Amino acid sequence: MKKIIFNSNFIKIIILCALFFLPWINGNYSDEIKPSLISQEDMTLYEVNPCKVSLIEFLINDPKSVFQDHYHFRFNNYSSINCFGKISGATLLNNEFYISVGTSSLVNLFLQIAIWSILISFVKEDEKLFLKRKYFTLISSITSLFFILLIKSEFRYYEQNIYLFDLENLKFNIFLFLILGFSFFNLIEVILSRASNLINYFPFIYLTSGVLSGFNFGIYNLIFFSIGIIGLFRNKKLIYFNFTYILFGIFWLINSNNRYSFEPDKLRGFTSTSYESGVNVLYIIFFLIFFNGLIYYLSKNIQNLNPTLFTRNMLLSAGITLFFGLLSSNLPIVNFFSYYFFGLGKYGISIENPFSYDEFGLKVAWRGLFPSAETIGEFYALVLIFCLFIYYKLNYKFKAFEVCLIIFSIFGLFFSNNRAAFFILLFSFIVFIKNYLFKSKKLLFSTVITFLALIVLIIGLQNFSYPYSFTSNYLIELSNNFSSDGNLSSSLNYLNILSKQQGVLFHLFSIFGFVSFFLNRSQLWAYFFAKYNPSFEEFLFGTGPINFAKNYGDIQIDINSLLLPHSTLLSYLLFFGSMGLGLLILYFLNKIYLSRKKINNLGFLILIFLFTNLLKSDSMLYINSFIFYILLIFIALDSKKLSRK
Amino acid sequence: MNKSNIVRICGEFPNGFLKPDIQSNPNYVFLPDPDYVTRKVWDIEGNYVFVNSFIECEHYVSGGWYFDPVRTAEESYLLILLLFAASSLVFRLILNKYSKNL
Repeated sequence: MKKIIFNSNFIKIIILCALFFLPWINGNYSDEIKPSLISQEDMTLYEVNPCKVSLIEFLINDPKSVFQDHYHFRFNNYSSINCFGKISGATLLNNEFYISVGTSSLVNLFLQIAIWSILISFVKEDEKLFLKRKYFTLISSITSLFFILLIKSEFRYYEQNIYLFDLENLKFNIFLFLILGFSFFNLIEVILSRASNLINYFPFIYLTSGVLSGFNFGIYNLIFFSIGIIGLFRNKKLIYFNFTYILFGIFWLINSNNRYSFEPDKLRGFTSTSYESGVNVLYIIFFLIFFNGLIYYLSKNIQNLNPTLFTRNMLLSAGITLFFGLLSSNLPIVNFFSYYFFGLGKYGISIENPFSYDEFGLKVAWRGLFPSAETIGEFYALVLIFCLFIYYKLNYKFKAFEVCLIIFSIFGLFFSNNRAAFFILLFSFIVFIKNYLFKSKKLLFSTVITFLALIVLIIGLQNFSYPYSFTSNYLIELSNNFSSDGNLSSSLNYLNILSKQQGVLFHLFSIFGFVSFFLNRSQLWAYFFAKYNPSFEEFLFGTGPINFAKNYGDIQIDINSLLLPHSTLLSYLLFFGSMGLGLLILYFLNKIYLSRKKINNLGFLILIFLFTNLLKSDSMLYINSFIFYILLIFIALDSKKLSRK
Repeated sequence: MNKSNIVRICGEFPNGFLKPDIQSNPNYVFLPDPDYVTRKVWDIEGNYVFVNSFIECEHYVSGGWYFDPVRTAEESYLLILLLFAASSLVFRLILNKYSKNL
């Protein structure tokens, strides 16, 4: 009998191509409705005949919509399955065309998970499974069930995103459970059979955010939650953390006696959409299990990290992210598909020129595909730091292609306008070449002077001319300006009282205000304090993880867009309170102290990088950077081992 | 009579609702209610009528006009999607078992 040998990679590529292209040619090509060009004068065809013309028909008929910047393609997740890939409407807004493409959230669930599962399956399988196969069905089922409960609790969000959403209907519940279960079982099977090797591919987390279109979660939530179901019981290292977290959780639940809603915007996939007891209990459980899963996975697989492979993947991820960022900012159709196939939380930037400056002569922070220019700037800087490490410490010789990617990363950092990340990169360069510098006192002296001069230039020479009394009080002054009379937040009220008393606490806060001025964070942190309205208990224990609903719903301030705190420190003050934040900092410092003999230059630089950027950026609010920074902490605390590899 | 169907299609029962005895009166005329949002109700064959009051809606729904062709069609598509998801899992398991990388 002849044996038929399949080349599975070839089959995977065929299936991938089919999944990439076929959904968008869904249409009835024999009907009388033919696509027409849309114009300001006539858009009636798509208004009167929604879900009749496929996207491909539209693009073939109107090819200039692919590249002209006044076209915007947007997903309409509240569409029937039959409408998938078809034009569900078109509208004109501010002289720009918005073309709505029908997609069904339930089809997205299957399609996106299928695509990412196939892509991940190209990574070599492990010889030994990370978790035994007998657990796969159990954890898939529990995870699917949990996320259906989460969907049910956030019904206000999902009734706008899932067509004919009816979780009171048993049939609909069963459909949802089975679709999620089958899709997720595929994914978890692929992930867990390659878990050891996948740690070297973590940099691609920045390229593929993995958020499912129409949902407030993504593949990373699913994966680490499912690992956490086992990790919660096996991971003895987190026993004190878990116990303390549960105590805090009890307070958060008892305190959940109001209702607020929150539009997730760019945080979609890693934030709650409302603050109420039913949602809070699920997010408290989710975060506990997710975090345990992440720590369990990293603690078991960190020894498989290959620094050169990891750095090469960082370069590749940075290069592809920048490339698609440039394409998507210039080609509306690429912007549309990037959002879908990379699982972005927010559409890529539409500013075509990454070199542009605003009317005040300031560089515009260009984020490309990523929701935050600051966070992606941090990633580009980290890529370059790792390149410096493998070049100087591991004597790695870069290939021509990799040198091009390094140049890409330098441009990416410049485009993001993240000056703090640039400053730390420069500092890292000096640290890696310090042995060379110490050979000549003149060279060392001139390097230090140049470095200090650059700091002054980056901060801005004119900022040093303001007196301390102004710079330290500017934050409170701005905060009062944001607030309306009679509607001050409790934190601002307290700061105003401190300001009158001029006691020790006020002077400590003044230092904080002084730092915020030079980090260019006065306005954003002032906005935070104008809204931060905790009770005394909430100030101590917080309101619960990854939940902004209460903070943004409590005190109303007249600003149209979502302005995040731009400080992980302040966000975690909100989530975990001063006690929780203090305990986290103490725990972290203790870990550093206990691991001090295992930390080398790279570890030291990573910790400085994390400390500086977490003070002034929101990176830990995005699921990709949250996962990546936890990995970096693992790397930093045992960085000497990397040098031996 | 399925009360949940009536509530789902016609809305909540008005306070003090008394079902009139329509069966014994073949000439019963449904009076339109200006405060009631007109609804469309379907029977199993896809026929539809517009109802203009809760009484009229309740009467039709109780008589079997509780089908929703949009929902029924969507459920059919969901079933196809489900079969697709299940068969992709089966296909992948078979592919893993019999395939070999060249």
